[in-house]
Amino acid sequence: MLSGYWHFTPEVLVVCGAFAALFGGYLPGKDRGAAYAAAGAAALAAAIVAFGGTGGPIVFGQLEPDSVARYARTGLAGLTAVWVLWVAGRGMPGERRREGVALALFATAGGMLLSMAEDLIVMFVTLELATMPAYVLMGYRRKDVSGLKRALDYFVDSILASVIVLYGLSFLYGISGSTAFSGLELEGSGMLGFVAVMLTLVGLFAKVSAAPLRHWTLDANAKAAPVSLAFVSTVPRVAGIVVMSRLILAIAASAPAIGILVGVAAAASMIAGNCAALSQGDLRRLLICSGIAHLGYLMMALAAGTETGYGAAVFYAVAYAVPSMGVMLVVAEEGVAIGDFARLASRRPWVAWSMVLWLLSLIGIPPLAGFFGKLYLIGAALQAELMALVLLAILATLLSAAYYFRIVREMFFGDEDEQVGGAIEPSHAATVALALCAVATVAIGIGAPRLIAALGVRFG
Amino acid sequence: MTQDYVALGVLIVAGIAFFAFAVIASDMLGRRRSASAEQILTEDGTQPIAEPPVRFRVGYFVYALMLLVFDVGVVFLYLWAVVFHRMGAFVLIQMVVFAGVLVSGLVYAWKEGALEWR
Repeated sequence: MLSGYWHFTPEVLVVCGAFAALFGGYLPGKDRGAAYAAAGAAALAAAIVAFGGTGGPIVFGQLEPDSVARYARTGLAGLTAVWVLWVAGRGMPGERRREGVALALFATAGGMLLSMAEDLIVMFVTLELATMPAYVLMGYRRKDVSGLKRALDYFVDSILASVIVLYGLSFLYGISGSTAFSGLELEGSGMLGFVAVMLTLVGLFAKVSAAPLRHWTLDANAKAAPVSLAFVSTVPRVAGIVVMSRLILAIAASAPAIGILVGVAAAASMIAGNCAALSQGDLRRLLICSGIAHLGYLMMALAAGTETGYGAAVFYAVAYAVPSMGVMLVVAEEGVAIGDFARLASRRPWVAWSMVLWLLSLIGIPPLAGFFGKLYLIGAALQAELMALVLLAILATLLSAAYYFRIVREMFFGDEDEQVGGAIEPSHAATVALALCAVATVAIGIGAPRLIAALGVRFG
Repeated sequence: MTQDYVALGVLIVAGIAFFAFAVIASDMLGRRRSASAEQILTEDGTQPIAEPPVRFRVGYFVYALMLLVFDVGVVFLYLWAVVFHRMGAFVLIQMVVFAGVLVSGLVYAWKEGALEWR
């Protein structure tokens, strides 16, 4: 009965790291030591997943540590390690680190299990574990009343999305008589199947904030501490995207019409995200909007409803999250207004060039992670002959260069008088965290052909 | 197939009718009060006769959360106890892990002073 349980080693490690952080008062270095211990646990977990093997279904077929899950789990644990390392160096705004770090690790453990989920019940429980700590992280600054109000918005909207997902899942179970993804059978279910799929997708789209269900995200996220946002907009979101992709692939087998729904949402996300991002002066809002656009590119591949599209989407989820976290962490250091970045290149040249690297990756310039990610997404969409979506994605990418380059221009040619913040005190841990993000952005790009082959994606 | 949807329709109509009845009936039958609803302290519309002798602290939510630790534990412990004799050592380990996680939450709260009566 215990066979295959060793696959949980990384998750157990992450949870142990969370407890170590919670009781960090007894560790050497107290608060900071707690964060280092947690970062170490997350990094070790990432290494174990990356070099550990894959396997067939475990725990009565409810979880499957396959190659896609291995990639996603490595990415999630790695991203968390980087984030916690940064927090160890710079701290959480206004409060001590321990609880924030512990919450992040709990969310990561949930996300890692979520990306293995092959069962509706496991999916829902782990989805909640992955997203609930995010509610607290969003309102981490207890004294900041307007931030708390937004955190409450975030909580209510996200819970509402969860409830809608759950309602949809109950119909899916009712129709197919099975909670396993592999047992989902919607053939000939007519109107009821439509309702089930609609509810599930509406909830999931709202959860990962895809258009046309994205409005709440901007309001709820816009006043959060950038460091909280760096975590919430990457780790739980990647996990949500992975399981959404898994579920869409499972449903698409017996209900091909789902492709149209996903395709429309993809187009809407690309248009709405990019257009909204163009006019944002607050970098938090800009990155949230561009996040919606990136989700649009990703869902373009999901609309294909093929294994290739699924692999490409999961690849892109992490390939997008890594540079996105890097940018968000620098925003947490420098300030949220675009003017705060004025002449960053002369003040902190290494950070400025890392920013350029991440922004180029987000636009999709070779040989970085984002380029290969978009290449595979477009490849998957072309295989399914979704020409309109591909054209839209290319146009949207060109448009996105406009607002990403605004940040680059500010860093290199900005007006120095606009800069209000003082000098940032050096922190080795934070520097290492940013460097890791930069290295990973290049490494995912260079290793992309091997990674995508390991994900089971075959072109041609 | 169609009958299923008729049932669903009946449920929806019944739901709306119930809601409408509750609102309209209470509006027609209820006694009018001079004070607007926002000024009344209690939900049933009764005017308070005096200030409460003590003020309740919002901080009591901590005790509610602590209750949850035991509450959730019992929900699963009961089911576990029913099937335990058929499942053997494996489920014992599972329950120890589960209870361990809950107890750590309690220890954390204790350590942070959440159990101090203030």
